Amino acid sequence: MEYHRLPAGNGSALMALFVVSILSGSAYGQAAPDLSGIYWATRYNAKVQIVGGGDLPLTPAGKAAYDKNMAGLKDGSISDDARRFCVPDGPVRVLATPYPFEIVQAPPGQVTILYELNHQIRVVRMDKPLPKYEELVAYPSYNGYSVGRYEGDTLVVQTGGFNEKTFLDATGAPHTDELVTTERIRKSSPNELEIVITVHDPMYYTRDWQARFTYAVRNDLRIEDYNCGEEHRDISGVQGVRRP
Amino acid sequence: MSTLSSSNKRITSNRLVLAAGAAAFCGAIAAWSINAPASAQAQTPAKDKVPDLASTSFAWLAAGADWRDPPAGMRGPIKPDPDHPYRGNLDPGRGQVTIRLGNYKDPVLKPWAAAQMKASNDEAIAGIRQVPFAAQARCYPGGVPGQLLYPAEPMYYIQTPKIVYMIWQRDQMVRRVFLTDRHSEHVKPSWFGESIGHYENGDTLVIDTVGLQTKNNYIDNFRTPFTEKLHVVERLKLAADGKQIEALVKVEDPDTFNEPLYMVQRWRKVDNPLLETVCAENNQDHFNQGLFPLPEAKKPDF
Repeated sequence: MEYHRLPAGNGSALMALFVVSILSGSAYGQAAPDLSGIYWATRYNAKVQIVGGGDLPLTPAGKAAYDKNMAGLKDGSISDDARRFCVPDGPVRVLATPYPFEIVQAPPGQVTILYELNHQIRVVRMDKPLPKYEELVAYPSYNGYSVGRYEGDTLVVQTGGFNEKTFLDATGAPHTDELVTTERIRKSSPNELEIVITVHDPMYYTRDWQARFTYAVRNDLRIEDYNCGEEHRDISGVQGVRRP
Repeated sequence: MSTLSSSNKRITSNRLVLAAGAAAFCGAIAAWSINAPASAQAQTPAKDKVPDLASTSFAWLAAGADWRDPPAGMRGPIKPDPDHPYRGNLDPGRGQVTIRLGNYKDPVLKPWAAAQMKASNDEAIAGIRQVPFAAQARCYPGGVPGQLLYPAEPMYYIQTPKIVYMIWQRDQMVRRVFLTDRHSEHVKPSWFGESIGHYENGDTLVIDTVGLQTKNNYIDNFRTPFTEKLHVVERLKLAADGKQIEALVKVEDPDTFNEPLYMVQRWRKVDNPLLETVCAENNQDHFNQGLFPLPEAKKPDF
């Protein structure tokens, strides 16, 4: 197994970004943007929509993995456990959730993202570097290991350490455990949250690509309990949702 | 993408990490049982102080999966059936670990509750369900107050001015306590109900919960049931040294119990960051023990 998968230059660049963020950001007393609240998508897409349009820039290995996933999901030989047993949706797909989620900028030093769907929680450790691949791979997880920093009005979250049990979308878009995502989370208006995610997974994708998700601010709601197979919140108001 | 050999290496490394984690937890639990702490010493912090329950660097590990007795004079928790004494993993000396069979003959129980508990015991004794239902073992929410009895992985608090979040690492179960003095007019019954709360004396979080749904939801691991009239008041007190929390829990349900029950649970501070643990993973009935089925969506939600 090749342990050093991320190009060394990439790591240096990330560290430089991190240092810049410390010097320009919260360490020097810059107020963190207020992103706390409850958010709910108004539109759902089973297939991830990439910024700029077009198809996923798959490598041959990525295309083979995608074809295998699509065929397996269709004939039932691959179980979509996120929908069947409510295991976490994993990277990118979790952003497409048609259920509300909550951002809590606490406890100090942490941002916590709590999803109604499958009671997923993501912990974002603030102003910490992303550990190396060989450290993260020892405990791979569905939603990965996230670190974050503030850049002006934006929370920038970088995540690695994913397991390979999830799809990037409901159609089976594949990823490897080398995947590193960068999310830029900000209020695009007082009533809207925007997340633009960059996907870096050179084994399966010929270039980094982005997807953009928007959510309505819904502080009138409370996140509800979600247990697999039970009746849940009415999500028929979210465009594109089809209940089987 | 992994080659076969790299997968194997990864699994080995995972096992090491998990084994180390499990050993740490077992050690922690054993140490707890030996050094069971006395109740937190009374101290009078500043009245407006908020007990420090939340951090990124520590968590709280429960002392066990059974309720402890309340102070003398209070009606305590349901106990094991005297005809089938319970023996747990941590009990000293040799002996076979047994399953939990509750005392359905306890006079505090209304007849319907006693009958339901007896039926559950009979099912276990007959070997139909060799391991009786335990919410968190089978990936169901533990309810209120049952969730407090999950011992093997730590729990966390997040404290904001309006909400206290109680987060269990186990399957990322979350309770929200709204820091207000009034319940909603209409509460839709749910696994964790509606909890409201406030701080008292600078060291105590008082939580009042109603609106608990009753299917597969119990107040303890003896499968003691309740009705939608259940009203739970939890008083979570941080010890003066900041290293322990003790909960005194009162459950009232005039349709299930002839008088309120009082029960105690304890946690100690541990240095564990919150990990993602996914209950439904590798949790099938591999040994044909008649395990309660995992939550499963027979058809996808969307």
